[in-house]
Amino acid sequence: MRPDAEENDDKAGESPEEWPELSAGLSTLFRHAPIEVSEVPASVDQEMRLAIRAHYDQFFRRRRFVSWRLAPWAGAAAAVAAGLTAWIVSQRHSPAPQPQARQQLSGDVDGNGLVDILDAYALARRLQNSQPLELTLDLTGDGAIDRMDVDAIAMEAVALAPQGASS
Amino acid sequence: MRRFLLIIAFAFVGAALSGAAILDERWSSIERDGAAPATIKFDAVEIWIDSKDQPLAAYQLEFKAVAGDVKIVGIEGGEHSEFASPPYYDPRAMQQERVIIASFSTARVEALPSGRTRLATIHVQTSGDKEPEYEVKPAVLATIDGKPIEARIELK
Repeated sequence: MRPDAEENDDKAGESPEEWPELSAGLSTLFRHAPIEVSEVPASVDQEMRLAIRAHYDQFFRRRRFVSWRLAPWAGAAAAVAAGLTAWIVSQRHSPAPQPQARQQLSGDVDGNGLVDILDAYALARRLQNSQPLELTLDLTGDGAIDRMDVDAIAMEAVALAPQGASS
Repeated sequence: MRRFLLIIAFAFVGAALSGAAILDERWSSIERDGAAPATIKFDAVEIWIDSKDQPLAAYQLEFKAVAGDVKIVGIEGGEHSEFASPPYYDPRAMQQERVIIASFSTARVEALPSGRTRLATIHVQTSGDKEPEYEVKPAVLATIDGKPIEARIELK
């Protein structure tokens, strides 16, 4: 407990005339002549009541104003959320968009102008025989020429054209 | 109190809109599927090759349904161990009537298949009364070192 609190406790039961500082402070606050702490005038009581009421009235008015001002925005947000939900549901069963264009691979290993399974076969043979390989055959771009590049060429060979285009 | 009523009203509107969207989608699908229930069957079309005495090292061919309502639903490898794995194909061919398949083997010539062998099996879903018809067009039939070979392709 703080020392001044202990002091106040010690003063409990003493007469108000012995608290000149409190009396002076209250007089300054309410701009009245020095008052007796033991007798709070009705005017001070009334003034405090009015001040409290004015404070809380302002608070409640502001709250009401804020809530009604936000109501249209809350409504708009709810409508947007509902529309978004409806759109997501309707899109869920829509067909997935087709790729617009397939990735172009430079997998023409045998240089005949076509990418077919023979290009994959040729690269696989060269890998099998540990023959030197050009860096351009790193089709996957992972820094290594391996079975992944063979698969990439083969997949390019069998790729179907996107819908509406000829393969 | 009015604020709570407002929130409840907007929540109700949102729920109603969502429900309407779901119902609309279901009705649409019912309308799409509701017209004359077609008989759906599943079939397997085998692709065979006869390369005579030439060992087969690589092939690439196009399989296509030219009649009937056909959708490709699966692709299986061949009977020879060197071509037993499913061939390369574009996954976009699923649920379509056309696919390009290809495969190769770098095994020694003694291990490669020759003569008549099943290359692959195409599993299809057919519907409707029209009898499905298929065709196959070879693009690559090659032996060791990629040399082209003459071979006969047939469907079974």
